[in-house]
Amino acid sequence: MNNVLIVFASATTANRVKSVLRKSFGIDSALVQTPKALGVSSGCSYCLKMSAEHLETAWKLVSSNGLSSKGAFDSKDYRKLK
Amino acid sequence: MIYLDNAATTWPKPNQVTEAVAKSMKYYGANPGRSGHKMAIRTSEKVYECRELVADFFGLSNPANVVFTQNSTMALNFAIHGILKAGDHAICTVMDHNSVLRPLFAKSPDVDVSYLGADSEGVIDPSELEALIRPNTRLVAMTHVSNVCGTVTPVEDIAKVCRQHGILFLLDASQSAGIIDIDMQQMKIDLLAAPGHKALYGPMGTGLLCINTDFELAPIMQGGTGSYSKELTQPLELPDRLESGTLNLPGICGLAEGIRYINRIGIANIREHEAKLTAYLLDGLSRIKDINIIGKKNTLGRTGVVSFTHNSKDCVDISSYLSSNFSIATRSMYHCAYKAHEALGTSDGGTVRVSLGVFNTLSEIKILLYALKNMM
Ligand SMILES: Cc1ncc(COP(=O)(O)O)c(C=O)c1O
Repeated sequence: MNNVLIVFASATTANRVKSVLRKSFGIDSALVQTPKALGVSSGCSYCLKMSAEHLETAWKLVSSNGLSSKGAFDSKDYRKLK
Repeated sequence: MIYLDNAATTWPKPNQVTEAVAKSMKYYGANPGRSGHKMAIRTSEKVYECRELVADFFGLSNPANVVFTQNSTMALNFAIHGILKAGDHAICTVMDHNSVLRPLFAKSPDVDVSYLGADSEGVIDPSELEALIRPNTRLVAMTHVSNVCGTVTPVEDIAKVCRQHGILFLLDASQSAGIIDIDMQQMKIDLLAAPGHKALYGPMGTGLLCINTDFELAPIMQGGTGSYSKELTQPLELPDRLESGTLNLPGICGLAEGIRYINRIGIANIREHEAKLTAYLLDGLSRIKDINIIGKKNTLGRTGVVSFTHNSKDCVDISSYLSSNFSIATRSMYHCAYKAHEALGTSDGGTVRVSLGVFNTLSEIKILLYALKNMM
């Protein structure tokens, strides 16, 4: 299964989503630096990498809590998914 | 040594705090929120873990609204300078510490400041607040517990009035965090400033500003946050908006363990332990000739910060006698809160302050009382 990257501007927001995904949904994700090739970062941002099957749950969490994300991308070809 | 100066900073710290500080230097040595290598990621997760602990501890729903500072003073300055603009009016109390009084005074004459009075036991009457409120009152800031005499402020009554008038309420929890249970949402506290190094048992160099309002504080410091690096403007998101520069990672790791330590023992048990010692201390002091207890004479509405004066002896001499002859650490004079001394009637010379912590014992209080009884 493919992985996805959800991009956040701040490490704190990324950590917050990571923590809620783990505690409330049992979903594991990894904090990684945003690849430059995504072309969405205004510099030094972080993203959460997780299995694509969790994208909908994670994205719902992000959008329903008004958290600022720069989008969700396929981790291989960087295709924008959200 | 008998350490009775816990209101300045607590000592000793729980072993788990010292161990966490040492461990952090070994395993969490990278700059959090900056790089992408494993140790940097691990360190940023550690920082977030502490934000979560703090948010849970103070009943705050969003851990991103926990801002790490160097101490309580910095947190109070972030709030006061970040909120008040020219033309605003602010209210504080005569019982406040200079960490509230001075930043407010520094805003004058652009900002007008009113002072809520206190009686001779340091008690504030919340019903007097309404009369001070003006159409341009933006902020009410006050201490939860007096650092001079331990009197507790009726926070919920004050906060209720602030909410009714749409005024921001900033609580200086420097002498209450870790001693009195605080739920910011339930108690309607908009902003809370706390030191990590007092009754939260973290290391010195740690402090917190907890934000429970949508009000966008203007940052008084700008710089690197590890986010939005291409932009010259400070990020709007919390905590980055207020947290520029490298964090005190060893301090934060120690603070997290301090909070875990309190959670394990339970605030109610800590309060009960300190109340028992305070009762014994107050009773003992009241029996010593020439000693006057300042503030409340029993344990109701107060914590384990106890001040006293002597009819003929200078308080600095008393502290130095206790230190030299019995290795007892106390603090004397004005405790950075001169207005409080004016209210308490001790503006001429201040007080000797004995402040208790979780590690103090009854036998230490007995030695203190013995020393005071036998003072020449
Ligand atoms: C009531 C009160 N406010 C503020 C402060 C300042 O705390 P810090 O030394 O952490 O800046 C103190 C310190 O003693 C205090 O007692």
